[in-house]
Amino acid sequence: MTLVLTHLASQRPADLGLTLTSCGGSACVGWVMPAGYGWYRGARPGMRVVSVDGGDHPVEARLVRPDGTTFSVGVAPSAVVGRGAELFLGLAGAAFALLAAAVLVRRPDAPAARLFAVFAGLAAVALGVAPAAGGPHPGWALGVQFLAILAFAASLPAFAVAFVGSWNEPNRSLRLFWLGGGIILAGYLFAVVARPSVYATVRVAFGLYLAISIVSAIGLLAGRATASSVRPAVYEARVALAGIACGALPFVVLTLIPELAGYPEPAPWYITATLSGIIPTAFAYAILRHQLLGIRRLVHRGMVYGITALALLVILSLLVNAVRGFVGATYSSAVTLLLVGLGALLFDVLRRGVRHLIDRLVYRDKVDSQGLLANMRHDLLGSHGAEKVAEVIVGRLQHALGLEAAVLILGTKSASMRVAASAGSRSDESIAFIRPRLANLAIPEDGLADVWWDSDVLVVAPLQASSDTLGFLVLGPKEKGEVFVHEERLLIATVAPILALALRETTLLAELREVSQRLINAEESERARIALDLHDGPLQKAILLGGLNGAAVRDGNGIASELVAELRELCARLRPAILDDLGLVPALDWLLEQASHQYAVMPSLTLRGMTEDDRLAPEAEVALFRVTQEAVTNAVKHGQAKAIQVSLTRTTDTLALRITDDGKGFSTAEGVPRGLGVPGMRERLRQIGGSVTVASGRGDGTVVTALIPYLSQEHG
Amino acid sequence: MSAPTKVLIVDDHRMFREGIRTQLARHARFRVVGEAANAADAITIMREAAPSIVVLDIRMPGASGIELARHLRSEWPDVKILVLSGYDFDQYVRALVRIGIHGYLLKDSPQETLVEALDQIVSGGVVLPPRIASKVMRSYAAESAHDDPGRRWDLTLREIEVLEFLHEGLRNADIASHLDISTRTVETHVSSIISKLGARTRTEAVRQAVLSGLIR
Repeated sequence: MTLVLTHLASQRPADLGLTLTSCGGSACVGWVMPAGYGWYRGARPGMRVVSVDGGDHPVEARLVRPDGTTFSVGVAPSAVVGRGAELFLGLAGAAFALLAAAVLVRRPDAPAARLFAVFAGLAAVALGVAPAAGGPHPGWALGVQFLAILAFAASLPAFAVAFVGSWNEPNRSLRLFWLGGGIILAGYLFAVVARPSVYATVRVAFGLYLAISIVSAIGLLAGRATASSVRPAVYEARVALAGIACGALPFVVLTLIPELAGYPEPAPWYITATLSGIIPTAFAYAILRHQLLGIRRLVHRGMVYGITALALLVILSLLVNAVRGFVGATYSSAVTLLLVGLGALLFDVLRRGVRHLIDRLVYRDKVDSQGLLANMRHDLLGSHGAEKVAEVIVGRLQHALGLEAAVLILGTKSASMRVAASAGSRSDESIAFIRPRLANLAIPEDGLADVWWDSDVLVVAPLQASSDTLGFLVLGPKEKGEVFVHEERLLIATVAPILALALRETTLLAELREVSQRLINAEESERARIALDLHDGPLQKAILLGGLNGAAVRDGNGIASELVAELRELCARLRPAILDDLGLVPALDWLLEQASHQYAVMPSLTLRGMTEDDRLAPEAEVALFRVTQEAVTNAVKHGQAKAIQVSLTRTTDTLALRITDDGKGFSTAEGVPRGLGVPGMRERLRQIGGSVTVASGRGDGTVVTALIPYLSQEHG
Repeated sequence: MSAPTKVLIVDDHRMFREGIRTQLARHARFRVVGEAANAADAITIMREAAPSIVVLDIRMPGASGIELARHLRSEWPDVKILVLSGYDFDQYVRALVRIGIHGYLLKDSPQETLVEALDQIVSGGVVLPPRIASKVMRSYAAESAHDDPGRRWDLTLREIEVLEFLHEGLRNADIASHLDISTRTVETHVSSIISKLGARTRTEAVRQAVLSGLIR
């Protein structure tokens, strides 16, 4: 492309200076390049042409001045190149415009990307308005092209800098170079407005400027290509240089040298043009292959997929067309229909195949699934605690998949979500973005959801262990704007449930340890209290009754009945007989009655769908009784509740126990406070296949809901 | 003089059984036809000696006195049951009264009350500790307000929640936001509730639910 532009710019002014057109039967001057050679010689639009000669390229025209005198000037009779080249230039311009627009839309924030967009945009303008491509109006086409090529030349070294290294801001030599471009522009304007004779100098300066720009860009590439330090950049530069060499050599041999030597070109234009195409191809390859300029942000792999899918579609339709022509008119419509149907069927398969090829050949993705899984196994085996496991595995995923952020969020309600582990440079941004969106996320069948974050994709995998969702694994964006490929998605979909299971198991283990420790502590302290109570109360009274101290007991009956009452209370504390004898409902009734005697609280018990005499499995009765006991104690002691509502609701297959209080409550955002015995409740319920949830808010009271599958214990 | 009333004593403590036996031996109108330490023995004696009153302890190893009472009631509807219990919780009394016993006596009540209670029962009366009796009566009065508290509606838990909100007079949209579900889901629940309760309108469904004690 650069060479085509160079070629255009290096035309002698006579070739481009003016064109002839027909006006009212005779020939006349169509347009004259402002400040061009023809302009300098005195040619103006509308001048009558006396004669044209000199073969086909270039031509000498004799023009008539307004005063009647005639003079000669060289002209280009139609265009510099043929119609095929016109099409080529037009298409190339459109492609560059598209690329520039896409880059600007996708990454308006990255300086290198902006530069790339300017570069591509200028190339598009230069190509699009080239006189050879027709242009909107030849009268000002060259002027615009001059500006475009000048700016292109100005940005070329900067682009090369960005290409081989990190681009942050222009350095001094670049600024000087741009200043030179400004001076040339000023000279050009001066020539147009005041002194056409200056244009000759401007043109030379312009040619020099373009040459310097190209040479310095190539020099930069060459410098990097021979450098021994940063390997990927060296490869990029080498590929680009090789591309330039391959593309430039045929141009020099086939076009430039013969033209300068005055020989006719030995090869048709399109061979030169095609060979020149090696240059952008080499650039494109280097850019894609070595992820230059953060190109995967610029030209997202999704875009590449899209473009190849489009190309596939074009090829398919061309094939259909070709076959149609071959078959002939009689069956053409039927065959077309058949082929279109076949194409539609095949399209998706082919598209996937092409995708796969791109992934393999261009991007050469290597997901080390086995290594990752082996490491995970190792982590899980040597794990101590859920948090540690989460931390380590999230780090591994971030590293193995090349992520800018990997986050593990526990909890599914937005209020109770917390970040259990995170890794990567952009994890904070990712958390801020995804957190409010997680609660309302629709997870599709395959278990992974895509969330668009600007131009990046986050993959969200729910952490599901059996039917529970523990939280979410949020992965992405990938480094350098990469996309998640099929293998990676498979890996994530595999790892998420393993991780969920591991988390649940380790959480459960930790909870279990805590529960058993608490149980031991509780048992010990209860034993101590009972021993003390037995010693202080019943034992002293029994001694009195036995009269060991020899003294006569005055009120034997009174002491005996006190002894009975004390022992009775102790028995009830150890295990309420009422639960075993009468079942859950009377026991709850008793419990609430005791609570109302003991504390200033108004309890109520509501039954739905069951009667006082319904019995459950003994372990279910104990579990629900203890949960209520714990919840009521919490409500009174921690919540200072005034009213407690206990309800038992039986539906077709579930029994729900709900304890609602009007106490102080607590904020669930930091999780349920310790000391409320919730792990103990959970463990009891888990053992009978049930679950317990605790909902609360500061000042809103607390609702404890226990659900168990309904286990009826009917009396025969 | 008519034949003595045949009494069966069921208690797992030998001391208690002997105490009762000695006490009853002083009164010719009672004859202890058997002593059982557990439910299985008691049933055997029931079959063989056909006592007309059973003096029953609640706490026993194996099947409890309550289960035994229930069994006796269904198999020998005419036998009278006096429960001796260590617990003065009205939950016990209510549960036993529902089974259909004739007397409930605390084990630590004065000795002579046992004979008085048996006399009372024989003459067709009922014996309950006075403190408990009044509470039991009150709670029965409260329960009779609901014609059939045990009736099972196959409503789901969600539907009952929705029903409660309907009772509070909330609109569908409010219910939806309270329960964190869509308005459409609420509508589905409401129409399901209406059809399950056999009502025509939501107001009628709520009234039905309140009347049957499904919600309060």
